Amino acid sequence: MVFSSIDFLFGFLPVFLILYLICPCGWRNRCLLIGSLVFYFYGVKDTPFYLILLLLSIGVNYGIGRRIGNKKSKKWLITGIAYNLFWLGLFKYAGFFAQNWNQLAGRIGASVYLPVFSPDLPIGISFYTFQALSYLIDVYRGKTSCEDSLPDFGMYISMFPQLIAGPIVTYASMQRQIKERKYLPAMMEEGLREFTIGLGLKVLIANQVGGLWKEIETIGYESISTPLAWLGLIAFSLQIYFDFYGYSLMAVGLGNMLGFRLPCNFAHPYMSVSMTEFWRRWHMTLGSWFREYVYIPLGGNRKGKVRTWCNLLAVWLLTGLWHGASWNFVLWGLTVFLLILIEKAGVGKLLSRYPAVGHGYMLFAVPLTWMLFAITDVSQILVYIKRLFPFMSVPGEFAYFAGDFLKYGRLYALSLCAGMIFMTDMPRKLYDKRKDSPVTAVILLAVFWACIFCIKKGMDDPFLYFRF
Amino acid sequence: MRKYWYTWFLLASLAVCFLWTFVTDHMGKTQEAVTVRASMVSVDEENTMKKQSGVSVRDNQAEKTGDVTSALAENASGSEYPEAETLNHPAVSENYVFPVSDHLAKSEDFVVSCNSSMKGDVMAEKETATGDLLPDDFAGVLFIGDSRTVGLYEYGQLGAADFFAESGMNVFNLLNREVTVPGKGKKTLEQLLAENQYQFIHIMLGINELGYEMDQILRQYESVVEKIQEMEPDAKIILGANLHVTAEKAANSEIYNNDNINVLNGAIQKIGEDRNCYFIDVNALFDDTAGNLSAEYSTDGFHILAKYYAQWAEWIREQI
Repeated sequence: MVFSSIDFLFGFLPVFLILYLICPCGWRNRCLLIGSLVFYFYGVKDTPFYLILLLLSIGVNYGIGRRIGNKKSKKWLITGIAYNLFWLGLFKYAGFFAQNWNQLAGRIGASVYLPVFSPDLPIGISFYTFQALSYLIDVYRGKTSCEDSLPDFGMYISMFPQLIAGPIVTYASMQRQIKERKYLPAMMEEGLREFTIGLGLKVLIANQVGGLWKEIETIGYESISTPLAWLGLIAFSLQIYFDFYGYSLMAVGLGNMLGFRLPCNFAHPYMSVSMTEFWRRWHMTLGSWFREYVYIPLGGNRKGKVRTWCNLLAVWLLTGLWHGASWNFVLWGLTVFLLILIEKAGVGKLLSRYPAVGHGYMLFAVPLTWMLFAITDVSQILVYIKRLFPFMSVPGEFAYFAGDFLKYGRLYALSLCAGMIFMTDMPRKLYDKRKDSPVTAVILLAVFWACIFCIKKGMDDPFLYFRF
Repeated sequence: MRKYWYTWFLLASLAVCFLWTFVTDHMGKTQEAVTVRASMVSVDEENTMKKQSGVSVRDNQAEKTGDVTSALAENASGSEYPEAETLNHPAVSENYVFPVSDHLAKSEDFVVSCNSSMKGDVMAEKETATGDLLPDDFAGVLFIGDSRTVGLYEYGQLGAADFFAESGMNVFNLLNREVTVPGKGKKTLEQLLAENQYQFIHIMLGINELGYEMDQILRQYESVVEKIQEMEPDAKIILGANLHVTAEKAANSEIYNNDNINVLNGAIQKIGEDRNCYFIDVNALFDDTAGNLSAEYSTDGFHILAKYYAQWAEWIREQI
């Protein structure tokens, strides 16, 4: 169930909130657990096995967590990690691996073919798997005690605000909130506000501006003019940001309504001056997960320069693959890694000292890296690059409609401008100053109903991070 | 209380909304007619596939629904050019009702009697269409249609043709819409036809209406063709069959699938025969073996990739 759907907004959410609020404090965790399972079941009702997978994950990780907790046993840790990665690998990467193996086997003439297993990905598996892994590793390290209550643990893994699309919350940071949270009515107000803001960003900006990239896909990358190619990348960059940022805000808002304080996932990343800074402000919970559980265990930056680079490379390849089992994501990870490397080599200092240069650099780096993210077929990426940089292609190689930039520019001008404005921190600062005024509340109300209107009209809703 | 402005506002507005829907639902059940707002859902906006099939059933005028439907259904394919008297459907001349409620009055102007546009001589030409009737640069040709026709304009390199096309165009709004005609400014179809002489008019419409009832679509389609023939009697009309959708799209939609499209196209072909119009079916060019739009030609399932419009244009050139 998507947060920005009528079913959720007028169906599940009100009913659940009422039940949750009338629940006595001691029962609230169980209520949330059951509600989240219902929520998840609604999303996977065509493949009910995925719900069983989630339940299994809860059960197995709970059991292993207790065993690790009691004896600090490395064997159990390895078992736990293997268990989690097994399912993730099976659903997400087995098909990719098999395809490539078969291609390779075909090239060298071997006749060992693997069956390509590529089912629909269980919703949220990348997120809850990572949460479970973080729990096991933290218990092993002694950073947190293991969770003794199965319903509480189940709630941690499956709570619906962050089950489908994050933020990835470590158990350590949530532990106290799981056991006791003071519920103040002010949190409901704040939660509703954050939720509305997130909804607005997603429905009114991301969904609208996302239409432009879809149009470009429909036309075909070979038939767009160069200005339109650049405009398309900007539109995609705005779409992916507001989509995910909006969704993360909605998750935080929902958490607030339930009494939780969930971590922030974005800190105006498009205001960064370097790629390194960007990744400390974009999808922050994923970045810190990789730092905490991959980079640091590998040695971080404490084993010499070359080792640091290798560690970074590992982290970025894995980050790329986490986003999808496809070569373009590997390419994307590699590109980001190279940029970060270059910045570490000294360019980064230049960029921070002269923010204008930094912003200019990011103006190109961000859309170009997102291009690798947006186009799955690597050969099409080549085509797109040729459109972006027309001096790379033979004149006459591509035929396009000369008026396309003006046409789509006009159609999407409003949402593109809105995107540009809201990617800065100005609206948030303004909002913070005027938070208590009734005018703000009226504006939020207008935003909410505008979103409902758009959702009812059936505006296309491609949530890009949804297939994880 | 002051600190919870938003919560209260939101709850209040939700209560109002709830009450309002409750009241209107209750009232709606006691009336016979349910007006559907002209929320023209178009394929081009990739709308949700749930569409209400109600059409503004205004009061009183008798509609010969039964006869028209059955006639069209049975004679959907390839009968010989019928003589006037064997036309077994009455003129679509009753006060046709279509969803844009405000324009209902205008529709009565478009009443045309069925026999007015029989052109005996066109019949002979049609039988021997060899592909060299259409001028190579498409001068004197008008293309009317929806977003696929827009694609033909933008990427088809159709030379001197005129285009009256817009994303979302359908037979219900065609005659009321003001469209920017490239090179000629914003006009309604009536104005455009009054100010220009065309030898050929290519019409390709139908996909955007698929959510409505078939017989209503077809009646309106025929009425539109009549009106155009009346406004431009010397032009020869070419009715284009609607492009198929890909197999993937067809499998996922109850409305936009090739069974429905084929029914529509068959009926359009019949209209073409009855009205002495050409009928061409571009699906021959882009279909795969199963009768769906071949997946290599499209990314979104409804539109072909821009680079193929030139092929389409060339194919049209060869047909007439």
